[in-house]
Amino acid sequence: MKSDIELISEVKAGNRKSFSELVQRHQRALLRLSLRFTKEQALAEDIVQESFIKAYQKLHLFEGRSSFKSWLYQIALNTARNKYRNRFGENAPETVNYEDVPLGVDPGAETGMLRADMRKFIRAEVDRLPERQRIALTLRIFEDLSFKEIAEIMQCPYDTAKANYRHALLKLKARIEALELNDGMGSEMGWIENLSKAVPEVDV
Amino acid sequence: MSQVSMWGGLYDENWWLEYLEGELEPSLKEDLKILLKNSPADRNCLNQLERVKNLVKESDEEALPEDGRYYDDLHDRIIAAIEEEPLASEEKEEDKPVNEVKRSWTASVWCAFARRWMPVQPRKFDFY
Repeated sequence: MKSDIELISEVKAGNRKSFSELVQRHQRALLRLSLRFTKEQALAEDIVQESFIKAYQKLHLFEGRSSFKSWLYQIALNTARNKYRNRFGENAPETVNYEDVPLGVDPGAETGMLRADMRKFIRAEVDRLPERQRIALTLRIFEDLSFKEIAEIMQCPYDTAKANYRHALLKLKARIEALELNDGMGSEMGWIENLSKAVPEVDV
Repeated sequence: MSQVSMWGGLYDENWWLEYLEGELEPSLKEDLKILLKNSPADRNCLNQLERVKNLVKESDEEALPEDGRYYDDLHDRIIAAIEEEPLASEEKEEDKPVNEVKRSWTASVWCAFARRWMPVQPRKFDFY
């Protein structure tokens, strides 16, 4: 199986069919990434299509300093951002209706928060993160990318990518602890004390 | 460097996150492994971070279409759109304007002045 770099060289030499191979190889991952941020399949498909077209148009600029996948992800994230901005203006709506998300559990419940509710809560909290923290967290945990790749995609220094991820994870940790304290202990002081330890909103 | 964290452990969350993500130097990582055996507070901190990470991972629900034809269709649409696009590297030399001269603004002004007032212009005064 040819590597991405080999296929790219062939495309640059005029062999368009090699780009077809690149599309087949990366379209699923790109669709998954786009879906994470748009939550809408039709929009995600548009982003995937536009991203590959842009990659094809700019292929002569790809020098191989990052992986093709990282470069493609970078294009997709920028495309997603622009599409959202064009569609909703500068004030994009939140992607989750928070009325549907249980932010607290009846202290009288026999068991703690159900697993499904916890998943819903965490998805809501991830969506609430500042954009760059959400991107770093998504790429690290869901896409299993290294911090080096994340920094390439986000076009930021390595330490900045790590800092964004760290802030995101610690913020989620604080929110989960606050929720579980409220759920399990029912102690108002404990809940407030724990919230005060929450990581402040920092988008690095 | 050691410091007492607010949880009573020796290191704070940032250290344990570095440990969890494999970002520490091997020698420091080995030191922390030994610490973990003896410090319940630090062990607890690390476990909590690991738990949060696992919860986030489990919350993933982005189900992709499984039907192969869906991806064939998507691929075909992308390739059809690309068929219309020229590759930038395909721009041939003969397509570029001949004797294309790029001048700065000041050079353009000077040349215009020179053409007006000096009909015969020595080549050495042409700026490119």
